[in-house]
Parts: sequence; C-alpha cells; structure tokens
Amino acid sequence: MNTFIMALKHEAYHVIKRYRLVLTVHQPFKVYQTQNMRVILSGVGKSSSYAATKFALKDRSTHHGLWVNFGVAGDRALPIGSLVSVSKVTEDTSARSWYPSIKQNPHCYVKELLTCNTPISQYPLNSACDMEAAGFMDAVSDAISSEHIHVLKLVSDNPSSGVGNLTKILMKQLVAENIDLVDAYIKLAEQNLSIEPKNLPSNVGKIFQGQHFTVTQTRQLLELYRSFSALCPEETWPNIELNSRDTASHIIAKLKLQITQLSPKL
Amino acid sequence: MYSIIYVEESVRDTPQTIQILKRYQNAAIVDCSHYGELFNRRKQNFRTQKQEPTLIIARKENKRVLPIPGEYAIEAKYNFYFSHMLNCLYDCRYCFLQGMFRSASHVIFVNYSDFKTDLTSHIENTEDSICFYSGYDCDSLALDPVTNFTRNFIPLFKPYQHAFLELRTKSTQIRNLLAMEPLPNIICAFSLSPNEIVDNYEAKTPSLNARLAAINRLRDAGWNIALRFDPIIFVDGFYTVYKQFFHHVYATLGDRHIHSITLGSFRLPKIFHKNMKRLYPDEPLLINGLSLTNGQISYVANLEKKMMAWCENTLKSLDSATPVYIQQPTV
Repeated sequence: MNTFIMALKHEAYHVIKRYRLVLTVHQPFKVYQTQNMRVILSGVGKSSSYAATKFALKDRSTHHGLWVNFGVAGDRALPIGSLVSVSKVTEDTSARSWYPSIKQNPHCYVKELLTCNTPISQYPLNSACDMEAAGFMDAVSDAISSEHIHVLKLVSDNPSSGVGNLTKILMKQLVAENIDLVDAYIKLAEQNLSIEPKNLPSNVGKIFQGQHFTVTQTRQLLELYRSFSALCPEETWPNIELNSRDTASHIIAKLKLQITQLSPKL
Repeated sequence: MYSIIYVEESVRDTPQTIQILKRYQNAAIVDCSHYGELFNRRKQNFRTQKQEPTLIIARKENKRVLPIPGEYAIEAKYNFYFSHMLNCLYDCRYCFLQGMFRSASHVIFVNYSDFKTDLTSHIENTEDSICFYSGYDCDSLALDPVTNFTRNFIPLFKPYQHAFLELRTKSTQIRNLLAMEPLPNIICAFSLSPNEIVDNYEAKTPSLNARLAAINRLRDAGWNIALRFDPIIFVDGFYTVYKQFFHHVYATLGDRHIHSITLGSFRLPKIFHKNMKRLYPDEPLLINGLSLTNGQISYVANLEKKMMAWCENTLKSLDSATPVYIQQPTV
C-alpha cells in the first residue's frame, strides 16, 4: 500500500480520481483509499503535515509501501508545471535537513527544497520552496526505510507568476496535466522495493493457531520457517512432532534443534 | 554508473571531487554536510540499496589508520588498515560489509593527503616491519579508474623498505598498476574462489579466469602477488570442487612466484550474521552448517577443522615454497 500525504483537496483531486480512491476516514484527517493506495489530507503547513504523517504511520501494514509527500511548490527558475523529485528537504527555521529517495527520470527535475512557515515572495536561490515537506520528513524518517520515502513537487508559482496567482483551479489543472508522470514515477520507485514476505504462509500459520506466540516469537517462527525452506525447499514445514502440552517456547526450541541437525557432513 | 552523487560541502571544490564528478555528468549532485547523515541513518535497507547504489564523496575526519586484529597479521611486526572507500561494487553474498554497514552507498574519502600524512607518520615512527591493508571495507582496485587510489598511494611506499601495502581485490582493474614501476613492498592480494562459488555467491565480480589472467599480467610485470582463499565455503562435492579449483589456479599461474597464501573459512561476528540473515532470510549460505561459538558464527567445529586441514594440505602439496597463513576467527 502506497501512502500519499497531501496538503489540500484541490491538489489531491486528480490523484483520488485517477486511482479511484474512496473516502474511508473523516477524522482526524480525511483518508481516501483503495487496496493499494491511500491519500491522507494533512492541511497546510509543516505541523499539519507532521501530524497527518504520524497518524498514517499508525497503520503498520502500510510501512512496506512507498511514502510520498506530493503537492505544489514555488521555484525561482523552473517553469510552472515542472515535476520535481526532491533530493534534500531543509526546514527554514531550524536548518535541519533530510534526504528523500530520488528517482532520476527524464521528465522530472531533481532539486533541493526549503520548507517555510509562511508563503514567501522571495524565492530561494537554489531550491524550490513549500510549507509541508519538512514536517512529513521529520515524522516519516524514523519509521520508514529511507528507500521508500519520496517528496514530489509540482512547480505552481515562480517570480513571474507570484504566489498570489495560485488558485484552486490552477492546482487541479497542474496535477491533472502531470498525473501520468507522477504515476510513471511511482511505478519506477516501486521497482526497487523489497518484496520479502513478512508473514508465515497461511497454511503454515494455521498449524500454530492454537498457540499464543509473542511478537518476538512470531518473528522467530518466521525466521525458522525461512531457514528450513532455504535448506529443504522440497519438504513441508514443520515436520516435527507437536503435542498439545507444547508451549510456544517449546515449539521454537524444537524447531531450532531441527535446523541445527540439518548440518552438512563432509 | 551513478545516477545520484552526494557531496560533502567540505570537499565540494577539491580537485579529486571535481575529477570524479566529471565522469558522471548526468548524475544528480546533492550537497550534504556530513556523509554520516546519509550513510549512518537508522532506517535503511542494504539489500534494496544494493540494486542501485548511490555515491557519497566525503572527507574522513579522523581514525583514518587503524590497527588490525593480531590474528589477521601475516609477516610484519605492526599491522594497520585504512579505507579510502566504504562498500564495494561487487555483491558477494557472504560479505561482512552487508552486516556491518546500514547503507549500501559507496563512500569515497577524497582527503588523500590526510591519509598519506597519517600513513607516513606511522611508517616513520618505527624501523620494524609495518604493513597496511587497504581492502577491508572496500575492494582496493574495483573503482581504481575513478579514485586513482593506486597512483596516489603506491608512490608513498617507495622510500620505505620496511613498510608494506597490501591491496586486497577481486578486480581486474589493473591498468594503473601496469603503468607504474612495480615496488617490492606492494602486495597485490587476489581473493579467489571456485567457479561454483563465483557464480552463486559473488555477483558482479570478474570470473575466476579473468582474475587469474590479471594476476599473470601483474606478476609478469614484476608485481608481488598473494593469493587469498578466504572465505572457504562449504558446497556440495566440497573435495572435488576445491581440488579442481586449486589445481586450476596452479596450472594457470605456472611457476610464477607467490608472495603468500592465506586461508580462512566462512565466519562472521554474530551481529553481522543476524543483520545479513534479516536481509537474506532465504539464503542457505547463511544457515547451512553454521553455529555460534564465542560470539562468532562459523561452520560447526568438526566441519571447519576438516575443511581447513584438507585445504592447507592440498595447497602445500601443490606449492611447498609459499607460506600458508590460516586466518582464525577470534572475537
């Protein structure tokens, strides 16, 4: 499941439409989603973006997908409508920096971004500027593997247009014009993600259904299953005798012993 | 090769950085204040990053030259290692770097003059033999056309007969070496494995025959050659596989003089092994026949002893003149 944190509904409108997302949560943040994708509307500003990202992170089943902060940004040099894959996000007040993943792509600029507290009319020299990305990065960086984190921005204003002329209609229009590029970018970014299974296969899981395994024990069980499958890919697991009095730790000990006994002989 | 290059602000304008960046004109260049911001951050996946590693150009601030554990020493009285790079172009499944580093990014430390100052200070501090190993955290030669490591560091050893430099490599990037005057105190140490191991566990490395050809060219040009059979890995048909391998190596090298041989079985510190198993949970190499002894994961004692003794005897029967050193795992 990919997660998009976006500030405004006008920015998200064509994303919601393109992926046929349905409004599933109203409070504290609006969440639009399907099976593989969700958009969380954070509202404007880095605090809102931080809070919305923290809220979205509570669903741990989504941690293995992409996490994208997508929205509009200003830039001194790039034409309106340019898509930017952000290489570095800096918070203006604290000067803290984060490094989202980048996908080099001929239809996408790579640029740094400055997150400001308020809309600005003096555009930074070498970076684009927005009001949310630093909040998103601050919240997401400790929880999600760095290769999954992206910040994508569409240039909506520059010195010749000015931020004052940015309207809801223009936001919608810019996203509509670039939605195919965004989709292509996401597909490219997804290619590198780890697709390791995180759970036991359901037929194996059923065998242990009557037992209570702690989180750590469940992880150990998965690891033992993988070790056994790697060494004996043709055999069914577990092929040890289990009886009703075995506790979870007994079962794990038996399975560990079994792996040890598979040692090769010269 | 690199589409994204991070550059520490402190080395942005050094000639070394400029030279490297010239080679990658299509790469996105991103400034960073310290390489650790990227390389050491907590949430990263080495395996995912290894598919498309980024490059970080940085300065190594301190701890540039470090002592090596005693059991890894060969002949010299004092032994140190230094790393002008972190991580490797190759993707060997057994490599401990996967378990040691959080990031698969390649880091090049371009402040060579600081390294050279430190090396010189160590060398001039003693009249006893002193050896420096350069291929612990990276392959010494794999990126030599980019880093010019050999051209920069080898001349430093010319005036010091008591100081040795070991270049540990699987690479065939020997053009710089062939263009230089060979020095008797430089040891080109090649890691070699049977084809079965190269094909299955040493992704992106040159083939065994390509490495042997590089060895012959260097030896014929007058460079010292050492052979590193480390790690020795348990495979089906172990005796046949390794017997054919050792015979093939010696048949190809002919009667060329070898400086030294080291032998070491597959072993890892427990924590590195744990990290690697998390990255590759389905990899039999990281499970098969291994056990934990004194904080180190290695083959169960009997298996390891038999493998090593057999390899040592076989090598000595093929080559009684070259000293064989066993690399014992200790914690």
